Amino acid sequence: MRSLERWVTAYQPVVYRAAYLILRDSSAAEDVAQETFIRAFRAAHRMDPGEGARAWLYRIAVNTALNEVRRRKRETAAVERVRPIMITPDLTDARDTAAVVAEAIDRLPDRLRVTVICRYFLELSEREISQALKIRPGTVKSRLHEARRLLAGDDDIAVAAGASG
Amino acid sequence: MANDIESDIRRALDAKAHEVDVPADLATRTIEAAREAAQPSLRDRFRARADAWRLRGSVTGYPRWALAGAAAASAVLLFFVGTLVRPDPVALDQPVAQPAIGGPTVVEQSAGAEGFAPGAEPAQRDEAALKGALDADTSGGGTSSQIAPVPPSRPGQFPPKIVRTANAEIEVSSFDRAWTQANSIAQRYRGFVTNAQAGLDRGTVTMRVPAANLDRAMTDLRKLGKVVQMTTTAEDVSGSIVDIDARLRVLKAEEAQLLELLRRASGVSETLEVRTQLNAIRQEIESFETQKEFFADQVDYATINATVFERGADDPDDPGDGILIEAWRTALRAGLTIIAGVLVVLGGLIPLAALGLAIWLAVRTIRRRRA
Repeated sequence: MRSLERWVTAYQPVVYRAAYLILRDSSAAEDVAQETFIRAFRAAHRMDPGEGARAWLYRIAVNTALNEVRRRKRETAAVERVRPIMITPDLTDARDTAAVVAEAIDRLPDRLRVTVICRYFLELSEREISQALKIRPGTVKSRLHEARRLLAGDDDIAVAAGASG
Repeated sequence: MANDIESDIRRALDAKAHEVDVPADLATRTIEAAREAAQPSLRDRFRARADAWRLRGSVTGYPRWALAGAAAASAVLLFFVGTLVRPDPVALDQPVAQPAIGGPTVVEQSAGAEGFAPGAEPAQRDEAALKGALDADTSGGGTSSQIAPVPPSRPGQFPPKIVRTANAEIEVSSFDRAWTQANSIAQRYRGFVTNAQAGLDRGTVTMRVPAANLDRAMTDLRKLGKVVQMTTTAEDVSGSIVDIDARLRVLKAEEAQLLELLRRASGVSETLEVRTQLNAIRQEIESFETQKEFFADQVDYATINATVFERGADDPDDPGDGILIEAWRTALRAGLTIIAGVLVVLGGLIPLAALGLAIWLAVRTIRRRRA
């Protein structure tokens, strides 16, 4: 229980924010942040001592969040994607680059978006992402490459970067 | 260019993630929820019992509905009695015999309970086995325990960290009763069951109890029936923990130096380089801290793997020559269960059928009178 308290104190804020990024819903993120640590506590004896607690917890968090995404997708059953965000490019408004990039990330397909969140927010290595998402390391690499290519070619980001630069 | 987009992504995600504040009470709620989840719920316990009962089938000769009613009444009664009668408080600071620092693994084995000194209490036997293991090493004498070499203990050192694991096979006269008691041992000693699988007359339960309560839990397990096999291992992980502590001290010193370098870094490339090294060091620190926590958890809570089986039960590992007979019995039992289920459904329909018949008779009488 002491380990759990330390884990919660050290990692729950990041887990909560990552779940928010994946689900785009603070209430669902709260559930995921709780569920992650309950699952981790139950499975603590199965944790490989050679693996870092951080990566292990984040892996559980990402899987829990993805389960929630899948559950929601089943419920909405192709009526709508999980809160699709359609942004009309505002070429006259020199918006904050970070906000524009965040919106562009939101427009990425889920498979790319979640990989990007794992890599650039949770700072998981490609090997850790492959374990978390149960995909090959080569697939992680190609997804990250594709995501970066799409974001680098995004017109909104180019405009915002031009305006701010 | 690639670095630019990566930094933009990091900044964007960081900004978006900080759109929301972490609820202040989330940590407290999580810890409480985990604490509750660690305790098996009444429903889980009842379900395990019901599964065992369902698998065994009716052996008393009474109809199933009568057994179900009796079980429900007993459950209600037990629930109220359970809320009134609580288990005896267990002292958590009970001393445990532990070998000296240096990493020995001490194994105590017994078969058919004959390996123990007659008249000795089980807890005392455990301690005696461990102490004997140490004596054997220092004096050169031999015992029946399997003992790894134990270096002499050094006075003034911190207490050794021992991971204790016990395995037991118990033959019982009544599986159902013994199984319920075996599962309740963990809770009685402030532990928890991590895995439990029950068959018709055999079940395996893995539980974790505070290390100080291991001997008492094993004593209770022995009371369930005849001990066929019992093994207790005590692994000294003090050396590993000392190594981890030393590595952590070095890594934290390196981390402090890198933080100082980061403060002094002037250019972007220099900052990024230091930050990369800092991340690597932090990952290593976290990895070692996790290992340390894992060891601490293993030291605090002992693991018990107990197999309980009814006298005359087939060994699942030994296919023997009765596998087809057993399959036939299982099929027959399943068929009888289906027939019993159909009878229950038909029995439930009797009141409805009676009501329908009454309505039909009434309607027919009215129609005849009108005609």
